[in-house]
Amino acid sequence: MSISDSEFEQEIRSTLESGVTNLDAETRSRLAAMRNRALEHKPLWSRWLTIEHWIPLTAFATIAVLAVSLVFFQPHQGSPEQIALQDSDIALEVLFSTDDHDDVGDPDFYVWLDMAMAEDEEPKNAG
Amino acid sequence: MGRGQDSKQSMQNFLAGIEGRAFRIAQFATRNRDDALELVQDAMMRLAHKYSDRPTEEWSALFYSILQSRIRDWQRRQAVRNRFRTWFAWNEEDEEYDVLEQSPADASSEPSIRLENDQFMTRLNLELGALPHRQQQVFLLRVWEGLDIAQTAVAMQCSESSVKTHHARALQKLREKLEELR
Repeated sequence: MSISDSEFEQEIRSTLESGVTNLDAETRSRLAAMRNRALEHKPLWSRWLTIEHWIPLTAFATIAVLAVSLVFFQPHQGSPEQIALQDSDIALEVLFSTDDHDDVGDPDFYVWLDMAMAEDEEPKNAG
Repeated sequence: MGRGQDSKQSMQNFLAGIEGRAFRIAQFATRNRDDALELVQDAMMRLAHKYSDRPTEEWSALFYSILQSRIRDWQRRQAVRNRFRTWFAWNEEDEEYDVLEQSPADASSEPSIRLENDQFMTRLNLELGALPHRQQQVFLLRVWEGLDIAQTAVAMQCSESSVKTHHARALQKLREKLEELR
């Protein structure tokens, strides 16, 4: 004899309930322990001290420090590297000029060169 | 202070009342006791920490929404794991162990179910385990847990019409399989 859907569902419900009643002791005790753990109240700060929060925070802080140091600690103008680059232009000009290079070995040549460069700079500074 | 204690006691009672059914529902989904316990624990933690201030009548639906979400995450992880297992062709011993672990028949070898001598119960466990996941979970939430269609739809992240369809199909299959035992 066939029963209605609701009667059938009721039978299933009571069968499943008896399955829960017959849960083994170990499962029951594990469920109770889990419940107690879930109910333990943890203050907010202790939740923030977990590793799952600290890993992304540390990574973010490291990236931020790197970014800031890249922005603020770039070699500034007038550093030895830039001066060397400027001087190399003059040196190349001397080397590749078609003029006589005998003066290059003469120390007076460099005194003259400094004076010439200083004179060159003066009008620029004045302007 | 007193209100906090009351709330904690209410949550304690709620979880104590729901944990056995929640465990069995998760066990039907995962077919693994330890995984089921882990999922239930996650759901308990989440509910107690995040939603304990919500009205108590909402807890059941919230709890099962969280649990179903955890079950979906678990299924995704399992799918990835199975893919890796296929790629790396893990040894046959592991494979054989997992196949047994995942089979519906495994449920009957659980200590909790060994005590269930009733033929109907054993067969019910097998047939519920054999149902497609969504039909199985919708059926359990509707029939056993007593969630209404809207609550079940939220928990399962599907439409209300899908809930009705899954429920009807599960009921039909179970009737076909279990009527003969009656």
